[in-house]
Order: sequence, then structure tokens, then C-alpha cells
Amino acid sequence: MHNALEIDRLAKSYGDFRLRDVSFSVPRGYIMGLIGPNGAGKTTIIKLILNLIRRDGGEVRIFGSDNRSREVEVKRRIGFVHDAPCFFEHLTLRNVGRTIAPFYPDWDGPLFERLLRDFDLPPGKRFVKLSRGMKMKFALAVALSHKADLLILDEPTSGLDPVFRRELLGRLSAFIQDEGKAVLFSTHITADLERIADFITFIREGEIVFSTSKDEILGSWAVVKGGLELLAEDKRPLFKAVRKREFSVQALTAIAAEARRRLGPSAVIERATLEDIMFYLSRGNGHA
Amino acid sequence: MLKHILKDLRFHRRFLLTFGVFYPIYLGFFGSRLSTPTVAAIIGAFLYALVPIMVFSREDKFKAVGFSLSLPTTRREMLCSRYVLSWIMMVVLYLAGSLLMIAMPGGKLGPAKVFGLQTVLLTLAMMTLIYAALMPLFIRFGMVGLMVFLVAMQVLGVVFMLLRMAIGKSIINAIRALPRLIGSAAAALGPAGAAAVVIVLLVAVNMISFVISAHLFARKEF
Repeated sequence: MHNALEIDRLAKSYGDFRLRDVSFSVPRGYIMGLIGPNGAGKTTIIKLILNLIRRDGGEVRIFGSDNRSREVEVKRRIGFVHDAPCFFEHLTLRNVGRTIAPFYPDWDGPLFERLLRDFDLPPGKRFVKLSRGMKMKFALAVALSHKADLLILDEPTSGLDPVFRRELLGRLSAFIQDEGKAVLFSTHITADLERIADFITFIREGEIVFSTSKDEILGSWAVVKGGLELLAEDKRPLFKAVRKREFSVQALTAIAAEARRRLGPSAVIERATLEDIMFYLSRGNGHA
Repeated sequence: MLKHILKDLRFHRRFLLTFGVFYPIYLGFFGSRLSTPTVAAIIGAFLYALVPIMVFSREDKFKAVGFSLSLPTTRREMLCSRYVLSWIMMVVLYLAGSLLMIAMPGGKLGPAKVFGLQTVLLTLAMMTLIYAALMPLFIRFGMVGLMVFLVAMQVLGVVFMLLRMAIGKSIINAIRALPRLIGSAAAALGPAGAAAVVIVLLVAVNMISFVISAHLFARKEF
């Protein structure tokens, strides 16, 4: 089985939110970044993977196994870092480890103790007394201690200091050196993904906009800056989104080479960052 | 299942110790002042059945259920361990409360009354009925379910009062006839036979409660 995670036509609705036919896969040995504005459905996808909510349709397969019919086997292979980790608040970190350990046949107690030391987490401290950043570190220590094959991280870097953010990214890169492992990383901080992700899935209003390799995205998407002539009918098909100012236009294109060829020196074409892409695609056409 | 039970015991250790000491002492003292064990059995059963619900409501409070469900386990296994742990808690509290009832200085109830077959079966029956009704409500509505149950009990009392006023004493007489009916059925079966029938019925009620709770828990989203 080549893919660590396969999501196929996943659907879920509640209230006025609908997740529609979401499909993407995370190959073994790679990091997939999941990006999108607030309320796009990132956390819903993660909850569906973990079976915390019921899907209306579609399939989730982890290392080839269905996440519902083979729930226990699948969850043993997942390490989950939630954006607001909720462990048993009044237990000490060491006791949380002792409580969780029996659930995982591959739990590595000495590794857990070592990770607590590496992350400067006092084993005798109660979980409730930890700062948000420390809670996140602890969740990561737990995920790594049971030798998960697939790490799922929901906004792991928000609230972390830059030093640990770098350290976390380094650990994720090291994690996938074992090519049997993979990471699904949901975040708003797209700079982190530019640093470590191999693939990017962008989701907006419950639908996948694209799911492809980061290099392909950064190679083919660009921000185009120019005069109002960019709004001409024959040029509009070049753009995915256009932001109009009083005397100028900024636009996002997914075909940078084609735009460069057709617009020539009349426009400035700059490489788009993931943040640019998220901004333009989320805000759509309008005034800047 | 054992790992779930140990997890819950560890997580709720302080809370359990507090209630594990307070409830038996309270009921031991209260029961020792009575000359008949029936009232102590009914009130005790009600309080003991509430303890597991209060314990599990703490997971809601600390939002730890979502985390528990992200562990490699099934909801059914988690729920099953809750039912088992609940019964362990209720029986331990009941035994401790009953022993204190006997041991309390000036107590009016001896071991023969406190641990009489009828009293034990009555307590188990009351605990089963209350717990079996509460657990599915709690699974579905959280602590609100507990409140709904308590309000429903009050409403039921009012309904009976109104029925009594409307229909006269016939409904009360019908209810009063119930223990006589059970008594004659028990006499026909003999003490051991009656106890066996009651235990089978209680197990069945627990099973039905579990099946309903499992269905509700499977549909719950976190």
C-alpha cells in the first residue's frame, strides 16, 4: 500500500456547513499540508479521520484499512495532536503517560521520558498547569511515544514560540525519514508548510480547491501586478482571483508561464506564496 | 476493558475517594437511625446510582471524551467498561454504607435486616432502575439528561397526585396491590427461585439500558 491516508469522496453536513466530495491522499514518506480559511472544513476532515464524527458518505482508508471497520488497528497507527489538547487535566504528565500506555502495544516508556526531558516538560507537573505551547509539546511527545506511523496535527504551531516551532518542524522532517511514515499537517501558518510540506491540499467552503505537490503549486501559481488593462476580457481567463485598486490590479494566476508569455512586460509577475494563494482564493474577486 | 477502567479510576481518583468516603458515612449514619431498612435501601440506591453518572460527567466537563475516543478503542468497548465500572462503584459504596449502618453506635438495624435477601434485592432493583434510566439520558444529553430525569421524577409524582384526585384511590390501591402480587409470586417460587428471577430481570434491564446507550453513543459527535 503506497498511501498512508486515502480520503475518497468524503461528505458531511451539519447546520449550514457541507463538506462535499473531499478526496485526497497522503503518500508514505511525505508531509501533506492542509490549508484553508477558518470554517473551511479542515478540523471536520480530521475529526472524520479519527471517527469522532459520523460521515455522511465517502471513505477514509489508513494504510489501506477502513477507519471505521478497523478502528482500533487504525488508531494504533495514528498520532494525533489537537489544536487544543485535552488530556486528563488533573493528572501529572507522567501519570497521563501511564494511563495511555496500555492502549498502545508499541508504547515506548523510556522514549516518552526522554521526550519530556527534550521538550523541557516536568513529568511531575499537572497537565492543567501547562501553557498552550507546553500542552502542544506534550501532545507531540505522546504521539511520538507510541510509534505512530501517521501523525495528524491540527494547528500544532499556533501558540508556539519560534524556537520550538522550528524544532517541531525539524522533528517532523526527521519523522518522515522512515519512509513508511507520513504527516497530515493542518495550519494557518503557511510559512511552516513552505518549509517542510511536500504536498498541499487547499480547502474552501467544504470543497477541495487543489491537492498537489508544493513545488508544482509554487512553480505555477503567481501574483500578477499591473494596470487596469489586466481587467480586459481577453486577459481575465488567466486569473483565478482579481483584486482591483483605484489605478492598479493585482491578480492570482495558476498558469504563471502562460501569463508571463501573454502579458509580457506590461505586468510584474511574482512567485506566489501559499499565503498569497490562500488570501486570493479565500477573499475572491473584489477591491483590495 | 481493564485499561479503560484503570484510566477512569486514575482520572477520577480524587472525586471517587471523596464520594467513596462521604456517601457511605452519610448513609450509614442516616440508615442506622431507622428501624426499617426499606427507606435506607431506596434512598441509598438513588444516591449510589448517581455517583457513576457524576463521575462520567467530569469527562464532559474537561472535554476529555474526545481524547479518550481518539485512543485505539471502540465506543462500544468504552461504554461497556463504563457500565462495569459503574456497577463496581455502586456495589462497593452499597457494601460500605451497609456495613457502616450496622457498625454505627446506637444503630437500630442488625446485619440480618441490612443484608436480608429482600433488602438486598430491593436495593439492587432500585439501583438498576435508576442507573438504567439515567445512563442513556446522560449519554444523549450530558448533565442536562440528569436534570431531565430528576424533573421527570417530580412530574411523575405530580401526575400520580392528579390521577389520585381524578380517579380516586383505585390507582393507589392498584399500586399497593403490586407488592402483594410480587409477594405471592415470590412465595410460589421460594426465596432462591424469586431471587434468581429478580436477578435475571435486573440483568435484562441493564442489558437493555446498555443497548440503548450504545446506540446513542455510536451516533454522538465530538
